[in-house]
This record gives sequence, structure tokens and C-alpha cells, in this order.
Amino acid sequence: MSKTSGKYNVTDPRKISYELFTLTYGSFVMQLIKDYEDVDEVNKQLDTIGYNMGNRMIEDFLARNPHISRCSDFRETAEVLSKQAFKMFLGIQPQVTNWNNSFDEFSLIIDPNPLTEFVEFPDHGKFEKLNYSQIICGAIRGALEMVQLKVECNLKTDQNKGDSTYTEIRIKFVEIIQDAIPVGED
Amino acid sequence: MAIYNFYIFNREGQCIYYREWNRSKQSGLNQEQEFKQMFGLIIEMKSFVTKMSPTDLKDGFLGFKTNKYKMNYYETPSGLKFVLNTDVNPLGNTRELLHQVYEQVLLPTVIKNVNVNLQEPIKSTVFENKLEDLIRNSTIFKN
Amino acid sequence: MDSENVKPSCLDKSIPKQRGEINLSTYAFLIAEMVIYSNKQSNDITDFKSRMAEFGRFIGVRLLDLTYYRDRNNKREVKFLEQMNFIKKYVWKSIYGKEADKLERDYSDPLIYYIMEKDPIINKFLPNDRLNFSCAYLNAGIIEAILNESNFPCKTDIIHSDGWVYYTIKFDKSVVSK
Repeated sequence: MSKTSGKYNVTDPRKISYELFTLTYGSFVMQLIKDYEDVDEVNKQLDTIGYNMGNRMIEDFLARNPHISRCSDFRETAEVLSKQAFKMFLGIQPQVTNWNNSFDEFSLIIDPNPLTEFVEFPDHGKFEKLNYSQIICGAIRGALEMVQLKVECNLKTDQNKGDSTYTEIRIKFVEIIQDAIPVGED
Repeated sequence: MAIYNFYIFNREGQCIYYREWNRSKQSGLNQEQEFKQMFGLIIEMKSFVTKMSPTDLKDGFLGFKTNKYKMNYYETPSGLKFVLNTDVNPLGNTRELLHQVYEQVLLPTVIKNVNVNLQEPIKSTVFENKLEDLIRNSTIFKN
Repeated sequence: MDSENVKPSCLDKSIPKQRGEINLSTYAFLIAEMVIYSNKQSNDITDFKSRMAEFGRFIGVRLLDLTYYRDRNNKREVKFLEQMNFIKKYVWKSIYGKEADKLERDYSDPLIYYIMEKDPIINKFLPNDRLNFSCAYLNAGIIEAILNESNFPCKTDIIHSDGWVYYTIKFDKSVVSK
């Protein structure tokens, strides 16, 4: 180790520090709160921003994982999402759990959540309704839509809500989106 | 010289990129018609070959061959469609080449680019240069 | 801290000594959205710059203590030159994995210094013809916040030149005469 390098440096050129990421996201949410003031509107914005990210992230994911093809069922989707997509983008593997009986709805438990670490929420209720990690829901929805899976994705609980110490995201299968058909066929 | 031309279609069926190298004879259609018919052909082929398959298809439609050229097809699970027309017997793995176009050219220059999206034709010169490099250096092009 | 607050606060947790790293792609996708958003909200380029720098300031203030604690055993610099060096070396290494390339002073203006970086990671996915939308304004904000927080009041800006980004630091007179 050279004299000038600190002990906790980023070592992989394809990565950046965890804190930089967390703080950058924090700065973004703070700005949205300043711009919109209304927490519901901020939640909506975070979801849309996540959706747009998901649209692009799926391409990154598929380009780097050429062996992955369309999932045969929703359970496989859940596994790929947790074990491969979350692992690639956030370095974690959330637990897949709480399936419903028809296996079209499940939860992802994110703990630790890289977005909420170091984040202290003022505990006077103002931010109780803020869906801090909503961007992840948006990203999942945006990414799956590109592989023709329409889902509903909601933040069931987050670290700033009540006594929760983890993040839970509920994902519900809605439908398979059909292929685009050529327009103006003769 | 064994690569003739190349198309990228987005999910909506719009041709977002086209380029040709050694295409000595044109189709006689205007470009818009040609794109439309190429996309229509792909959709028809995909659907029909799946119906005809004796067992479940994995990658499905991979292209077709005539006595003069071969059409090589690669589709990502996200619905981006790549078409590369080559010599009848391309020397090398065309599927892999098309994947490289996706991973090494389209991803860094377009998908990750702040100002570009896949709903519009690709105009980036960085994309163009990288694609040119990759294609011209491939064994399929050289042989 | 409220005494009735039962949930452990992040202030009660110890600062993790070693943390993971995050895929550069994820960061790039996030930054891209921040650029798009800031651009939408801005009337002109000045607005855009100050919005990007504001993100950086938020980050910089919080990064300062963390980096001191981890890499310097809380030893703080008292000279502004050393503080700039600290940013160039430790802060940059701890967030981007590489030091900034150079630290230089302006030949004519004694109040101006430059931290220089070749191809900053944050601009990796920015095309050259779009330098107006440079994400490096965020880095300038980080630098400004760290220097201001350590009592070296200054203003920062950036200059692009041939793949290089110059973070221009203009100190308050009081700093340089110290």
C-alpha cells in the first residue's frame, strides 16, 4: 500500500464508494423535497426516476449476462432479481419471501439497504410518509417492463417508517406485455 | 468482404440504426419501406418458426440463409433486434459479434449516455466509430 | 435526541470501518437522472451548474468527517494547501478509487488554485459535445463544501480542456494571507 493511500479506498476501477453512492442519492432526495415540498409528489417523482433508470439498467444487466433469457415463471424472475440483478447493481441479495398462494406476488427484504445507510430522518412525522427507497420500486417496474413483464411494485415498509429496521418491497405480477406488431402492414 | 449491412430495431419496431458496407445491389425499395418489411419479416418468421418447432425453442429464430447471403439475427430479452447480413458462410460467430455490438458499443455509448434514448435514431459519432472498429476488425469482415 | 425515540438512530450505530463498493454503472445511472432532472428544473446553464454543485455540497460536508475519521485518525489540516492535498489524495481516493491528478496554483492570481483531473469518472458517460452538462460540477461542489467546512472560504468552478477538468478554487483573501 502506498503512503498516500488511505485504508478504505475503492480498489476496483469499475466501482465507486458505497458512501458516495448513499450520499449522492441523499442529496437528490433532499433536492426533490426542496423543489416539491409535498411528500406525495416526491414519492411519485422517485418512482418515475427509478422507472427511467430501470429502463436503462435492464440493458446493462442483459448485456453483461448473456446467458439469461426470458424467465419461465415468476419464481424464476424473483430469483434472478435478487441473486443477480440486486447483486450486480447494489452488491446485495435481498431475501425473497412471503409468496402468496398463487405465486404471483412476493416480497423482497432489503437489509442492509445501501440507500438508507447513514440516513437520519427527523423523527417528527414530517417524513413518515416519505418513501425514501421508492426509486428501487420504480427501477424494478421499469426494468421488468422491458422484458415484457408488467408488475406492481410498492414499498411496504422502509427504515424511516415506524419501527422498521429494514426495507420491504412487494412485487405483484400483473400481465405479460405482448410483442409489438408491425404497423401499417400491407 | 463478407459483411453487407446491419440494422438495429427498437422494441417498437423502429429502425434506430442502419449501416452498409459492401452492399452492391439495393432492394429497390425506399429505405423506410425496406425497414418496415425487414421488421415485418422478423416478426412473421419468429412467430411461424415457433409454431413449427417440434420441441420448445430456446433461442428461437436465428436467421436464414439463401444461396447468396445469410441473414443473422440476434434479439435481446428486452426486445432489441439486431440484423446482420453476411456472406453465406461467415467465418466466425455472428451471434457473438452481435452480442458484442450490444455490450461493447450500444451499452456504453448510447444506453449509458445521459442525453440519448432508444426511442430515436442513433446519431452518436462515438457509437458509429466504435461499431466501425468492431466490425472491421472482426474475422467475419476480413475474410 | 428525543428520549422517547425507541428506534436505534444511525447516530447510535458505530461508523462502519470497512464498507462495500457499488457498481459504477449504478452510480452512472443515478447521476444521469440527476443531470436530466436538474436540466429540466433549470432556466439556464448557471442554474444547472448551481444545482449540480448543491448536490456536491451536500455530499462534501458529510464526506469530510468520514474521511478524517477513517484515513487520518481525525488529524485535521490547518493549512489550506494541505487541505487541498487532502482532498486531492484522500478524499478522491476514498470515493473514486484514484487520486486527482494534479494540484497547481494560478500564475497570476494568488487566490486561485486548481485541482486537475484527467477524464473524471463522473463524466465517463458524458459525450464530449455535451460538456455543458458536465457532472463534474458536482465534484466542484464537494471540494467547495469541504474547504468551506474546514474554514477556508472559497468558491469553485470548473474548466474543461482536452479531456481534463480543472476544478478552479478561488479563495477568500483571508485564507491566503493566513
